[in-house]
Amino acid sequence: MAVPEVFLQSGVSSLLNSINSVIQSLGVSVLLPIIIFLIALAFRVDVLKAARSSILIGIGFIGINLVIGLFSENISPLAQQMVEVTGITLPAVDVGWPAAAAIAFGIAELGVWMIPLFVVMNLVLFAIGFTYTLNVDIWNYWHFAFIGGLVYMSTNNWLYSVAVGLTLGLFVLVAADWTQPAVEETFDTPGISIPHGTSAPYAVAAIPIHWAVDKTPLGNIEADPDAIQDRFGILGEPIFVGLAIGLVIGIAAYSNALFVAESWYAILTAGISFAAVMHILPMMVGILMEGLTPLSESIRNYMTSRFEDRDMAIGLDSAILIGHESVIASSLLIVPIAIVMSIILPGNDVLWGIDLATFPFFFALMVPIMNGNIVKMVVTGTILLVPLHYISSAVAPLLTQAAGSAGFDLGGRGLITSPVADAGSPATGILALIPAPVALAVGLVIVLGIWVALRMWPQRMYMVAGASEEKARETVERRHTGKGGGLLPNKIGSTVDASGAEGRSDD
Amino acid sequence: MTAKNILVVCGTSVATSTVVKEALKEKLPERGLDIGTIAKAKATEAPGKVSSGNFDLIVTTTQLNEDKFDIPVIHTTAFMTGIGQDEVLDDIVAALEG
Repeated sequence: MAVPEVFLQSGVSSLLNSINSVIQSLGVSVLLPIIIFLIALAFRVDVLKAARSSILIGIGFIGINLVIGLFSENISPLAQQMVEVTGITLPAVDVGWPAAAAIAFGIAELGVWMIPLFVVMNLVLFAIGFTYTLNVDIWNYWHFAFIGGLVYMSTNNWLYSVAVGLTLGLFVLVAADWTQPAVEETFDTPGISIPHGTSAPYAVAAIPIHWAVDKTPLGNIEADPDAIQDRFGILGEPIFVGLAIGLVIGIAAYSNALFVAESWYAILTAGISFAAVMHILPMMVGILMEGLTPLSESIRNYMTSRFEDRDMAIGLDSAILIGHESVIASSLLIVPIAIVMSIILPGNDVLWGIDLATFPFFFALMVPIMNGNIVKMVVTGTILLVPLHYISSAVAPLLTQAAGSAGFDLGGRGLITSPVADAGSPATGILALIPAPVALAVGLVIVLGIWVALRMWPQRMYMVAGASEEKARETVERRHTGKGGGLLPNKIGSTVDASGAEGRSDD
Repeated sequence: MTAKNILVVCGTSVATSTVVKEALKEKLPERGLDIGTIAKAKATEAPGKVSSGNFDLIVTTTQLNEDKFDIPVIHTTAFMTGIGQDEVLDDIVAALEG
């Protein structure tokens, strides 16, 4: 006997409703371990290892929530008091990339689901010869979840959100292929490319800006990064930056009562609290990372074992580039510039905090483009800070909403943002702030435009990203001559693109 | 032989250093090494942490200026790529026993 359709429908919708309400009441710290456990089993992680990983991920979330609680209890009220006392209105507090990553993965409908979706996309794109990179750095899939999550908050449309997240995924793969010869040459990392959601968009945006900066007298100044690092070395550690920012916010908040002892108790407490958040939050995120490690190993083997005989670049985190002395020096120098800009830029909402320690990711892929010249890096970075402030201000309401959706308790106080990674990134500006269908189109046009340019003029493109002519030519010979492993052509048009450049070098 | 302490260094002390730490924790005892603590550090914190004198070896995933350290420095991405892990483990064992 057929079940009347109306019963079936109400049955399905009440089932969906009860699933929804279970999801709502479980919360991220329980739900995420369950999802990760299932994904880990699907990628054949040993059951006990998968269980241990999943529990660690739950613990990581609880730990991050504790630290964010500390932050919103101690820092947010001070920031509000600062507004009242000084009139400086910076309502979007920078909670930094560790919180942004946790929020991104914590959005139940989207977050960690980006992991299997991206893996499948990457495998298909590698198989057809669209990319040479296998991005095994699953930790950094959070960038795709982040952008997708912001779009989900504004559209509530799951398909758009996934499509936008994967568009960023597509971009970082193409950018990784583009920058790979330069990275390999500058950082001595053979066979590795950097498909990083923070570093790649800033580096690509830096190319035209640097081109212009190079035409000015600034292009001729040199500075010694090692001396800067030695001078500021320990002061550049996050705990000192945190202490300084906490004290500055505290002094601003109590600037009308600086001769009262109680004010100084609060100011000093603010300094230590901020330093504590800067130091402890990454540790909590480290627990999440530890939980993801077995899954990441399984996915790596799953991906690389399929294509053992093909020329490939293994995609890793730009954390491996950050020890470079020019990265560390530029990241120290730009901190005071960023703080001053946040105060003088009209309409800026960002109150700098934890992401002041994230600038190494901002600069990592700029090193080859600018030959590690820190003057050019800092000047180019300063120009990029202008859109960064406005984009991360505009994204703050969406990110705050996403944090609520991911179960983080901000105590209802004000807005949050993470200016460097990735709230203020040019990719966020394009993909999350432009309405979804247009953003998708613009994003895809940019990605495919770069891709076609890479296949038409690979040698010139590799040199634009900072590779030497010799390195670029060697990569073209290895990668863009003859038939590749996939369906797509390795080269569009004639086999040599930079014939003019070659002619000159022969003279 | 006394237990050896290792400092694992990367850009953030969060991501790649965790992968290396987990790999070392699993694989060095299999080679008969007695491991004390394996700590993580950011590249900027490494000189400060090493100057405490508690560490016997640095394993780093990012470039470090080796002249600034008086203990051996091994630079590797093998634990993330999965390529060449055994060779690097041999190097680490040799550096710790040597």
